[in-house]
Amino acid sequence: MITLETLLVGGLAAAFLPCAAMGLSLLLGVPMSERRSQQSAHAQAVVLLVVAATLITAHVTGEGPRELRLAPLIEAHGYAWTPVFLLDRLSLAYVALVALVHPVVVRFSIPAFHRESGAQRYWFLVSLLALSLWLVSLAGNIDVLFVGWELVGVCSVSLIAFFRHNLRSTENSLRTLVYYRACDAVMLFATVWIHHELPSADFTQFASASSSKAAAAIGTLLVLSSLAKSAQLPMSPWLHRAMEGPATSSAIFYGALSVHLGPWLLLRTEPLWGEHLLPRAACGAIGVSTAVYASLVGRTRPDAKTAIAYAAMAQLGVIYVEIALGFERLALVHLWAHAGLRTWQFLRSSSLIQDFQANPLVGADVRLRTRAGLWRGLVGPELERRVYLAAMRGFWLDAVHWRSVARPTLALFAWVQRMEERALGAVRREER
Amino acid sequence: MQTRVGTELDAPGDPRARVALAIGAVLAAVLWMLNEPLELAAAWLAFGAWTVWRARASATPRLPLLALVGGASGGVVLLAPHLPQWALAGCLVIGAGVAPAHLWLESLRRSLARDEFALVLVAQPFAALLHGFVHAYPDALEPQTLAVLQRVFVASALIHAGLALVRREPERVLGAVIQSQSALVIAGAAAGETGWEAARMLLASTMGSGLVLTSIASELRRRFGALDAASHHALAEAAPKLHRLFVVCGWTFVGLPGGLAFFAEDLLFHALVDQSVGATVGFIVAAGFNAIAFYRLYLALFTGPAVHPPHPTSATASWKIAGLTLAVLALLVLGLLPSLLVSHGG
Amino acid sequence: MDATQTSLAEQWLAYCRPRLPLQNPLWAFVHNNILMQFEERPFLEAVREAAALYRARPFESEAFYRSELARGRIRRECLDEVLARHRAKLGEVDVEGFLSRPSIGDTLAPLEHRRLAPRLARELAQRHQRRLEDLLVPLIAAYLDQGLAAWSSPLAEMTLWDAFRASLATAPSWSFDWRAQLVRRLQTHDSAARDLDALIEAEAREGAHDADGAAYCLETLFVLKGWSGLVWRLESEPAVAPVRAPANLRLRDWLAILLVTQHALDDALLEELGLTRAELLQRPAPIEATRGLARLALWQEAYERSFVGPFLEHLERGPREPVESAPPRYQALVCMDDREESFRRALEAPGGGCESFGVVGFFGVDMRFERVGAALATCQCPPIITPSRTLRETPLDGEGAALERLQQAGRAGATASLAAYYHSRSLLRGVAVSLGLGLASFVPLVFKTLLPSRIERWRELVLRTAFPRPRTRIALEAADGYSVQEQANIVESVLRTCGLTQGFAALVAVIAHGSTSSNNPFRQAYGCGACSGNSGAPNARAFAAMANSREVRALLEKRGLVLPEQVLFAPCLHDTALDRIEMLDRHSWPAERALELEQLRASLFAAARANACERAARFEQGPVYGLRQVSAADAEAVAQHVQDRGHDLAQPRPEYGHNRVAACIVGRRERTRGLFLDRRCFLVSYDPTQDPNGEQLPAAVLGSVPVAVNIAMDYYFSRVDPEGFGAGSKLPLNVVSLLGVITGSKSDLRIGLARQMVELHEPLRVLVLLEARAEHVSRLVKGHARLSRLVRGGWMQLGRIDPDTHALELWNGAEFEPWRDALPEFAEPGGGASALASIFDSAADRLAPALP
Repeated sequence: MITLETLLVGGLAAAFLPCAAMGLSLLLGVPMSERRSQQSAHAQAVVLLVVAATLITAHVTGEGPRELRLAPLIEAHGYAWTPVFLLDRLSLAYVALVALVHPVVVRFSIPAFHRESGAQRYWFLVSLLALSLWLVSLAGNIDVLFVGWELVGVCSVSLIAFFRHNLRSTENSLRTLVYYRACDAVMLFATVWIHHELPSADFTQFASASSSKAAAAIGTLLVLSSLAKSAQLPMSPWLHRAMEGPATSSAIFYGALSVHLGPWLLLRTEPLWGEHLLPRAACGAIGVSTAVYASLVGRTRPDAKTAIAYAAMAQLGVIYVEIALGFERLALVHLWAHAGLRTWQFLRSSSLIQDFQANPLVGADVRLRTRAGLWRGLVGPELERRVYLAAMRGFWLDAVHWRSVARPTLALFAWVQRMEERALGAVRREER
Repeated sequence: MQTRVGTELDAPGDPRARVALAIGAVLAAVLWMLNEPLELAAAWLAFGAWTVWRARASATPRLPLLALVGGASGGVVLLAPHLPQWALAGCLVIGAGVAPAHLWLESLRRSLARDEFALVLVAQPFAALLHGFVHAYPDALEPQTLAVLQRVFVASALIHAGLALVRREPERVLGAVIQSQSALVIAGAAAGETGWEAARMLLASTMGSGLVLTSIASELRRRFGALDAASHHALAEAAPKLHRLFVVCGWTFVGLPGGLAFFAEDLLFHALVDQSVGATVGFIVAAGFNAIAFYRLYLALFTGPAVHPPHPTSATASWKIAGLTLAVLALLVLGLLPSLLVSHGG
Repeated sequence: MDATQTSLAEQWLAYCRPRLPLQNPLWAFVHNNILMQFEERPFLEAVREAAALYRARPFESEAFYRSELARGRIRRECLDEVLARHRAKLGEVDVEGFLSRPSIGDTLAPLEHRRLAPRLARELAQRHQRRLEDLLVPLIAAYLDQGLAAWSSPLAEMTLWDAFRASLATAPSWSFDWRAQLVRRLQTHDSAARDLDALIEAEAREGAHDADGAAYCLETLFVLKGWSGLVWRLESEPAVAPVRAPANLRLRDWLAILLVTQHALDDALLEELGLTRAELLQRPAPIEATRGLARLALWQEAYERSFVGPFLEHLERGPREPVESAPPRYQALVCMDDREESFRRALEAPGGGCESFGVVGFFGVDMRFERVGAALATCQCPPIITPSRTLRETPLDGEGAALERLQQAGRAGATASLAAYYHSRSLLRGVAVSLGLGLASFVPLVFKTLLPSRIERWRELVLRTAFPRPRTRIALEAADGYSVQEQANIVESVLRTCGLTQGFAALVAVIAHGSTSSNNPFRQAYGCGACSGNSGAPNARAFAAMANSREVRALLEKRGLVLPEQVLFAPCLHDTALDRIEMLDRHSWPAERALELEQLRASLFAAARANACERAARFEQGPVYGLRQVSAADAEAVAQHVQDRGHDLAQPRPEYGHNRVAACIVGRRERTRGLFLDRRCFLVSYDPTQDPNGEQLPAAVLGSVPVAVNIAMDYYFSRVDPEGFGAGSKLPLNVVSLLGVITGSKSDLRIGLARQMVELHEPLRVLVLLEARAEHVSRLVKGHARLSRLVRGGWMQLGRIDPDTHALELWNGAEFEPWRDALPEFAEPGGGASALASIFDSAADRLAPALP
């Protein structure tokens, strides 16, 4: 009889090996043949699907949540980095989602990336994504989760820059990294603080620590740290920029698996902060404002991919609200269903011209566009136009961030650099 | 401003420069092997003397005054541990070259050849100095002084990380990132044995990755001329091997899981949070900036619209690639098995 | 309005308009020579100007030609001959010298940019373009949107200029960095009370340092060439807008916007740099894409000669096996399309008893067609022809109820899918849609991805069972339909042109073609070019109905074209992607001939299967990649594979379309029958022996050759510079406004074809061979404006097959000369099959595997 532990470790190893092989071959400059890298990614997807199915069966037929602890990777001076994994309904729900969407995207990418330069890079990143998603979703403590979380971010950023000759795609990838980093810093701090304040960083112990006085603050930090991955306000403006990557990566990252990590993190850590008002209020307020913002902006989008991106952002806002209101189960179902819908929409986003062409209503006397009729009646055409024009530009959120945060920061350090030059100039004037 | 580049000493194959560089490397290694304060001071001063010698030999025939001050203050702390707290702290800050006392390093940069300055940064003599000092005189610094020092280190880490964001010359961006990371190392080194455990890992990572990244940057300069981090050069196809090494090494350097620095930083933050929450936040922010700075540099060097693929003047020697690859692999292996570097102390 | 009244701006616009990229919305995509408006001029001169405007290289790269030389596709002797012919310009130089000195032949200096931006440092110039796109692309995309956005744009009611001003007025002062400069510029114009024309004049005067305002405006429009082209296309022909033509769209507004934003951005950057416009204009700004064109033209010439020589030799030698002399059991009218060459070859395989004729695939039926269940009529004739009437598909008697049911179901489905589309993008209804449809969407997500064609088959089966498709016919006789007279004209003209006037077989298959592909914004590019990218099925049905009609036959008999009683025309559809044959209008077949028709179906089916196997040899991910001979078991796998390709959402290459097309032969099929032409050739049937006065020649040539040139040139340019002339890779493409595609989120509208669509193509100017008397050809070419432009400018190579001697001749600019004189490097008859290896090799044209 195979124990759950061997199954889990085996599954992770199976996820790791193809990824390591592809990464190593890329690093050493001995590229795999196209077929070989497809096979590796494909094999990984299939194995993970099988392992996930077994784990879920074991869970359903077994006795409930299981926590698996492996030997610490590192241990020093009272600090230990221990891989802990947790198999419960929540983690297996996400694992099931990963196990379903990932093979579909892999299968989808095989013809799509045929003869594409950089295909092996894509395959490597997608299989690394699968590995990191397994780490995130099965994590039993915040440390393991953070590892996966970071890796998902790097995969996402690297795939936005997949077309590296496209200036817009490289620049947008850098912007995305900035948003990710900002929230990852918050999460790192939350992690450190959890270790510092709470008796244990294991998720199973969170419920018992919920009365600790740091719980509300840590919860709020966790809410904040989830914003970038799910593109919630104010960390939203990167999502439409991420549409520079290939449609398959848009589907797996921003339709399904990466973008839903935010609510999933909240569901995971909810036992810790659920009783406190502050994190709940933050979560709800952010959700409501994002939902309104994103649905307004999304309705003005005349292109296929960013329209889906904003629509997804709006639904994520709703999921945040559901979590804030305490409807965890609804949120989980919503998350699952929504991921399926958006993946499907992203994958067939190139069909729109065909779809509309085949639709017998388009072009006939049937009203094609849903007019914002109620709206127009309520606010009048002038205001409608103003709101439309503002929404069309995403309410200039980009500019707000650029003006209020990025540029002052850069200006500050540019000033420091000038000061440095000036100070040295006094000593070695001949160099200036 | 930074036009004084590529002196004749930079020319590859100049045997004199190579010998000098080798001497410097030996001196730096010696510095790391010694423990006794007297020996350490001697080695420190010898290394300082080497920099002064190299600075004299370079194009600007004037002594780097600031560097002398910096070197001297390092020697002073090692030899006179009973100075008043403020003096000790001051000398340590100056000797360790953290901001704002990093100016002596900056001035040294201007009078040393690139490789030599890279050696100064990569070898991390400052950390050796601090660690040696704390090791030899564990009680010399009072807790309040340590707390002040920690703030200075945080400030230094932040300032250098920020400078990395606005600098344009690849070597200088990397230099700033290395200095920012080394502020972390120094903070660990100054925190006594506990932090040193973490700092040692980070040090290994900083030295290894710093070496690889600066070598790649100087190799790119040799092959493609001066490059600028503010525009895109699209070298990924022109220098595929360097590209791969750069991106992997860079990510591990700035703390991506899978690299040594990830566990090192994690451990260090856990060690630091016991001492100061504020300092931890500062370091976390600095680490975030460093990642952004690295990625910006990576994108600038290797991506962008390739209107005219640049023609390299020559290829990179395969032994160099092999060496760099081995270094990167070592960093990855240590990143997956960090316990190889950490003693399982209580 | 006479010239003195026309404003300067209007004159400039008149100069610009015809030079803009000529591309319809993808909804109504047709192949065009992208440089059709430059055809006035010799090829090299025209592509040089285009290269400057499009910032795109009009030939393949030096590296490409060198590798083609290395693998023998470019022959050394051809290159040698090309160098010898240009001796006057190049001096004495041999191949070695040419290869070792990249400056040889580089006689044309690069052209200069007129605008300021390209003179900036590279980084700034790129940023310039990006900032402009950031501001303008969302605006123009929203303005032209045909219904992708859920919120219909209130801007569409204004003029583009007013929309731009409104958008700017709403933007806060900090919304983008150069807003201040833009506002300042607009205020200057406002205070001078300039109208749009005056504004354009003022701006262009300021920008154009050499006082050539027209050229400056043109270059400015080309900053966003795709959008500019679309704006003009929609203004000039609003009917091509799929849903709603913007009423107030003017290129003038767009030009004004481009000028004013660009200059404002210039101001901002100049301020940043501390430079003046005049200082910056001192800097040289050569257009990189125009560098070295003369040398590349030499390479291209050698490349083309290396094709033409072996090809003509192959043709001259003729088929190996003699053609069967037995009277055919079937005849087939097939589209001239190069993709049908292999199909026809398979159809005419020895023992099959089939004879085929190449015709222009709309079968002379120039109609708009309203299909049952479709909202819009489709254009069923070549884009150069305006449809003369609109015909409707009508149910047969007694099928009305079924039709009604089907249409109701169709409308309900359409409403549901539109609702799902829009509501899934809104907030609260979006919750309902995502909860309601979300879990359900895993079903198509998984199954459509894993079993693309099977799931489609099952879906069709279920739908057909639930809503049986009613039997229909095309209402030819309707009030605005074709009279019997006209029907007879159509049938006569098609049959006479292709030479099918006697020796009729009992069954004549009228084979139209279409193409199935999924998730493909460029679907229209795979359809029948002669039916404006649609499927030719309605035309085949209409033609067969006409030809089977007793009244028509009676009329034809009076005109001397006797169609025997038992001759039956059977309309069929060949799907070039799925290689599936559909027999159309089966209900109209006489019951007693069912067996015969079944045999026909079987032989068409076998030919389609063989065709699939031949195509599959080039499908790298398919089961028989690179194989010439396919076993029966593999053929089964191939059939499944090509079906999957067409239905696979993930497949960017459902078929390879017109890849590698290089020639067009108008003449008797006997010259090419049994000859392996590797799907490289349009084949139009024309029998000069039945046409002693050359009266049918124009019909045969003018319907086909311009189409062939358009297709070849469209492929040519998309292939030589996939970024500048083509749409780049398909992977990052994003459908915008229902009109076209952009790369990522905010780029210029992409023109041309995607890289995956042209990757196997050999960029060649098409070789046109006409089997006709020299005087008829000359008369035809001289008499037709476009044809004579194409020949004179070298946009195609003209050749002739002598109807009597079968000798091949090429046009040398003045007269036809024997082809071996025109291509002296082939003076000695070459060495058999090996000579062909380079142009018909199914392995060597495959690309090297992509780099990691």
